[in-house]
Amino acid sequence: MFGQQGGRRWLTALLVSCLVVMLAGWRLAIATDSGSGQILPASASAPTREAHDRSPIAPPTSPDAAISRGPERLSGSTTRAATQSRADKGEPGPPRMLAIPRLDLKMPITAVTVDDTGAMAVPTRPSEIGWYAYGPRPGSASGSAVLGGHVDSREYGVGPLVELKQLRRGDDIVITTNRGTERFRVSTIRLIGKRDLDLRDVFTREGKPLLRILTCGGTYRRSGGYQANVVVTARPV
Amino acid sequence: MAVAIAPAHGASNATVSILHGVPDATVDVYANGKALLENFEPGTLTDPQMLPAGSYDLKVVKASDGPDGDAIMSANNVKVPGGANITVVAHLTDSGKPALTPYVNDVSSLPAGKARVIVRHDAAAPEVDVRAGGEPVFTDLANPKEKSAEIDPGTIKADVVLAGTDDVVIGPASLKVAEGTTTIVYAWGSAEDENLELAVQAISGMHGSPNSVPGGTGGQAASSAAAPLWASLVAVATLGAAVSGWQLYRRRAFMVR
Repeated sequence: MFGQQGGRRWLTALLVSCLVVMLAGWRLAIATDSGSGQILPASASAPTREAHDRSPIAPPTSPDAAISRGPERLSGSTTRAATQSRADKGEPGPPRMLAIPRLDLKMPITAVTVDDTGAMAVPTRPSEIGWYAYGPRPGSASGSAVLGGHVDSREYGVGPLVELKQLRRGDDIVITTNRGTERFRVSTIRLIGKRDLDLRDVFTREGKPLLRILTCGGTYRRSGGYQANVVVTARPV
Repeated sequence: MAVAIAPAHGASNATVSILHGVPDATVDVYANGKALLENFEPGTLTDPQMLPAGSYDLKVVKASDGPDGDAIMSANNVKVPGGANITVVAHLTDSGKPALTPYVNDVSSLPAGKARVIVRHDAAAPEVDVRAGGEPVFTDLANPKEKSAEIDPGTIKADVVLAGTDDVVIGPASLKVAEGTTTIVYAWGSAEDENLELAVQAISGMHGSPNSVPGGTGGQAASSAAAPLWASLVAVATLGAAVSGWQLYRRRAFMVR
């Protein structure tokens, strides 16, 4: 009799286990569905770790490299008329606030430089984003203004920048400075392996004016952390 | 005041600046017999000029004396390599004689967040130490030598003391050192005549880029976050089975007894 009961318990345990595993699979499927459409090209949605390590996930030169291939959005066009040309406005103030209206994202910006290892000293909290203060300001006449922040933190959890992957070409980005606002429109969103990221290009102080927003992405390794950067490039409007 | 020597062209140009560091003498400067600078005043640093690479005979005369005037100082066969950034300094030697010294400026790129400071002793004075905030940074600098260091950018309170002493001969002066630039500080004049001064030349564009952009320390937002979810759920299920099994085993054992 006990043996029979034990057998039922085994069966129950097995069923529960299967159910749990199925549920897990279902949740995973949902997560993948909602994400893959915008986050990653199909080839990069389930890459092997080796692929992450050895090759650029999205080489910037390839047209397929853009994470987002959504249609050009036109909703931001009304802002164009309101924006004066650079010559009228003079040098912009230091940036204070990042807003991406479509994602309902707002983050305070802090001026940062480099840490002792030579890396960009992004804020510890993922709720803030850093602006590389040795480089151009968002809205400067030339060069790349660079914002960078943690997507997540062991201590503080996941931050708003996890949403960056949802950006689409044409999305508006608004930077509030202490002298006004600077408006940009997203041109590319890329996931680039850290080894393949051309930091000289990202941080260039010359050439056409760009806004760049960087955070981490790709696979995460216990030793070595994230293996890629999400790099959003936007042009002034 | 600047007069072009020859049309500059191509990659075989050099960037040349000239500093006048001889007190009390307004001069004209000739290069290969042609006027390069006229009515050049002490303490003046020219804007950088592009000159064709080559070899130059430089001659400094009293203003308006012309190319054949008596040389206050001269330097023949000064090599100006293509692509180089050079500052030619008209200055006094440690014994007070006028001299021309060409310096090649270090404009190599800097690590992100750093600045380069170069100090040059072009004064009629003994060896000196250059201090920042009262601490000697460059020691035992002798005319016409230079010393260089990479530092954090910022504003430095600098002064010049006789080497190994606290006898301030110049300064203190507030010196702003910008990231990614080479700031060159010249001590010029004469200690005996009590007209020692500093001249400052800043060259920008040596900035480096940060070597990475750390973007997360948690891993919670990783694209492979699904894998740990799987793993943890499978682990939970396995644990559930194990517990049931263990309970079963206990009951069986109890039954056998």
